Amino acid sequence: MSVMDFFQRVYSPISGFFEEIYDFLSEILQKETIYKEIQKEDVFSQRISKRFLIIGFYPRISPLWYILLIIISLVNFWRNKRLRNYVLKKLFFAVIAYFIAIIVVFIIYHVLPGNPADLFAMDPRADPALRDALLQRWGLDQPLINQFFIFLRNLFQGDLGYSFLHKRPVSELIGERLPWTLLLLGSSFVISGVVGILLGSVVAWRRGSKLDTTFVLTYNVYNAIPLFFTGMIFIAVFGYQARINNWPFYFPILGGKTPWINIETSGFFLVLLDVLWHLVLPLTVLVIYGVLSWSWFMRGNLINVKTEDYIQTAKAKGLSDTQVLFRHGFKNALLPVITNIGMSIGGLIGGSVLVETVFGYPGTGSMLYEAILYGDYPLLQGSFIIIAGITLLGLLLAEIAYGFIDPRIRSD
Amino acid sequence: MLNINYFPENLIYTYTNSLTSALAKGQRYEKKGMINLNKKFLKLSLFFMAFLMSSAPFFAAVGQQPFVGGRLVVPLSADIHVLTPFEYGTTYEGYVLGHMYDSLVQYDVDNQPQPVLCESWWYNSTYEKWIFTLRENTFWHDGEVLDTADVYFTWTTFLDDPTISRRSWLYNYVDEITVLNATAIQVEFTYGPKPQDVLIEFADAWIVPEHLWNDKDVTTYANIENPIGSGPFVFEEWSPGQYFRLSRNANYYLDGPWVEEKILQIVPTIEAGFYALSVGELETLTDVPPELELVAQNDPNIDSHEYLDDYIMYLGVNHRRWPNNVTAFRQAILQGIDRDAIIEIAGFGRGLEAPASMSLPWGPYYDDTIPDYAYDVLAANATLDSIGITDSDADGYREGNGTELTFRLLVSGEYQQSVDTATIIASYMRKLGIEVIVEPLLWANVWKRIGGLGGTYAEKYDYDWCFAGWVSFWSDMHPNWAAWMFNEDLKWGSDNYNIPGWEGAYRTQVTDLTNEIMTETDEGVVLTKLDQVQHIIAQELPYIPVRVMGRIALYRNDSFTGWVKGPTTGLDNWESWLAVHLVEPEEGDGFQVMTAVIAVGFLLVGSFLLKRRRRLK
Repeated sequence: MSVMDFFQRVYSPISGFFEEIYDFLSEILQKETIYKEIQKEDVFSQRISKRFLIIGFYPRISPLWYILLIIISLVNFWRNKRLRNYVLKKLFFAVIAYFIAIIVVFIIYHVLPGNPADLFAMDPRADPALRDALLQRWGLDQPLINQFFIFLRNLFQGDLGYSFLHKRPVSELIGERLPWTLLLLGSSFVISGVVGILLGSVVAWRRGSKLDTTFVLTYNVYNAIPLFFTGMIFIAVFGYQARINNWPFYFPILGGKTPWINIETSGFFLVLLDVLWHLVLPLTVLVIYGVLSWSWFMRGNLINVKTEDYIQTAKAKGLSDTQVLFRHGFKNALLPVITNIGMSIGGLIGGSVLVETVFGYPGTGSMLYEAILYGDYPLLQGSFIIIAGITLLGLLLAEIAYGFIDPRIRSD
Repeated sequence: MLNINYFPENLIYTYTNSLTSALAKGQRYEKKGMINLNKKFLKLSLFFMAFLMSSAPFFAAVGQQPFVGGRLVVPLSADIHVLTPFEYGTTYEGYVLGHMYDSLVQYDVDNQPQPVLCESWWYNSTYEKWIFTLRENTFWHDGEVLDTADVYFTWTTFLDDPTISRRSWLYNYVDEITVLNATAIQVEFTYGPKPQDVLIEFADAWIVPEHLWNDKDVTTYANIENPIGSGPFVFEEWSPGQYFRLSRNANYYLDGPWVEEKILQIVPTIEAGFYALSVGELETLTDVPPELELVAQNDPNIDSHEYLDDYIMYLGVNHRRWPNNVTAFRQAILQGIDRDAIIEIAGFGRGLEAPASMSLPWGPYYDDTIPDYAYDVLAANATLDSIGITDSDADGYREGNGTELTFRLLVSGEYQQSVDTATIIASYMRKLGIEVIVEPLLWANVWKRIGGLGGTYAEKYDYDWCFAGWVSFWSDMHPNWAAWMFNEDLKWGSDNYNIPGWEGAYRTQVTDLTNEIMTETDEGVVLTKLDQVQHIIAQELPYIPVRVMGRIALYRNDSFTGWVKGPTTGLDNWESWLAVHLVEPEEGDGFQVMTAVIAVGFLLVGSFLLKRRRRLK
């Protein structure tokens, strides 16, 4: 089999996938007639390519071309010695850091007080001799080093462990709760990030204005109120008062969805609406907090950047305020924010215990909190290994992005 | 004023009169007359239809069983991990399981055993041989027949594996289990346990279907996919972290349940739960703080149920440390604490003073002649002086053996009521000249320090005092409660776990008495011996009892009714599951549509008859 055959074989399914997406997009983005007209002019594909910035959406080119492009990009990257060394160095340190994180996670959760057998030992009806049987059954009676090697072996086989408490694989448990967490925290993260960065830029650029003063005041007040208290106020106002006073709208107090509304009986659209309806209150609490936090961070960075010489130079050149802000100030102030975003991505997996608790919202946060209380080591280990991995990956990507964005960094 | 008694007659008279007069006038052959007749008929029909629609709920409510229907949403304080009757760990899991699985016997709100899966039980005179007779025509939720093979499978699974966490201690004394036929099963014990032991510890175990469990490792199987039981509710869905959705078991062999769908909604915070209750998202809520209880009192749609819990909070003292091992010192401490004030302040006025005997102050086995150690600071100070614990340097604190007395009081930081109580106890001790430092810790650490883990480890018994709680081992319904709590040869009454260091002649006497009670069959002798035990305990005070827990449950009264409430039982109990039903039939939908269909049918039939009559004429 030639190399070309190999590529054809491997990428033909991918090519088919791209074609399906192409058809789908054709249906939803363009009406039939416009589509035909544009197709005649042979510019639609270019538009699609430009719109999505992904060469994969251009189906007429053989997949081999994509491969070629990727190879060329990689070769170019590899030939750029500084960039290559920079990325490899970061990758190497990320792997080392991940391994250290794994060891630390393992040790921490084995020196913490409490273990799952105590859960049963504390029950007056359970036999005390049972505790020893449980320790033996779960391998907790073995030396720590043995437990560690068992843990490493399983990890390399992709086995995150088996939860003592739930009597199920850890990956299954996390997979069950993660969609809810990602829906809540992911959407909050994106909205907060985008709005927060823009708001931070504006208030920093207008430092000392009424807008800035109001922002600073709001930030301090909101930060002084615990998140669960804010959540309770939202429940009291939009869940309770709204309903007893017959406001035209109200939001549910508990849960992520209505138990009796499901796809089989109510259809997908209604379920989607129901989920979004339940999402409003917890999301709002988190978004307000997130927007203020990201804005505060961005504001601080941009205020520092404003004092740089190149900003003064840009102003002296006669650029407008907006041009100075977005062409020179914004990009430079954004660099630390990118690092923070990279670091925060891993935290999404951990969920938000407070918000989940107040709103009875399902998610990984409450599950992990419970695992801590009951000393369910495998579940904690598995979760934090994923969190550490995604955090490090986020950081790695942020640093690689740094290397591409800022030549000074990769030359260092 | 309209006399409703005559109203229908008048109406009938009007109708018949107008009909006969119309007929007499010969209008029936005329088009106009026919229209008039039809109009009258139409009016009457409309009236009848309106009458039917408005009175349908009334007729439905009179003289019949509760309505089937409705969706009951009740709170669940925490999510579950497993749903296996063999290995469940928390009370929440037990609560969920109870909806889906049945046992042979169930205790009601009056603490009386009631037959559930079995219709009767028999035991011989020595209590060694028991026969349970199952009901006929009982089925699993998947339609399979439930018989003694399932009971045998469940019991032998427990019997064969001593590591199953929910295995009763009574299995250690099971000699043989024999299936007599499809509905009778016999158990033989190596000694004659008390009937309460067998009924509480053995016959109340949930029975699992053999056809689904026979290839499962019961110690690792979580049973969360589709638990099949024989209980009043059928598992429909579990959304982790959110809710359980259960549906009514329409083929249940007992009366009820009447609720078509039951949602167990996970409610981690009381405050959010209270808002949900107020707007009707929840039907019940337990353990609300007094400020929310006050709010609820202003809501006509919310009622409350206060009850006492089978749980005693006590001050545990480490008898291995002086002067905790001095009986008079313990008596002085108990006399120096105003337990009424603790109930009022920390317990929101709920609960009772715990008797010095650590028995629940109700039920057939409680001896109310034991000393009550009423709050008396003077007497407590005098007692302390008499045993040589005095304030010799006049600094306000007593000394003993030349050193100032300071006690560290461990308490579970997770429970605010416990921390409050410990703080109040410390303030009372200051009045006696005793320094007490409250140390809130995670309960796991408190438990470890007071010896709860058993075995040998460094922190074991490293404490002075602790404030903790203890189930009373069914002291209101079971004569062996004293054995479980105080017998030094049994696990929970031993030197480990809760009363480290209590020793002496009285300790031995209590152990002997409780041993005798365990095998005594004469109820009169049992009562006499239990009285002796209670007097010794009340004198010795191995524990310093503080209060019997009291709780409150709020519930809505506008949508469901029929809650079975007991003085020592919460609202959402097994009997309530079968009894709760809608106050009124479900609005609209069924009844209105049904009535409309009947009325339209009436109109059609009437019109057809009129037309037919006209044609014949």
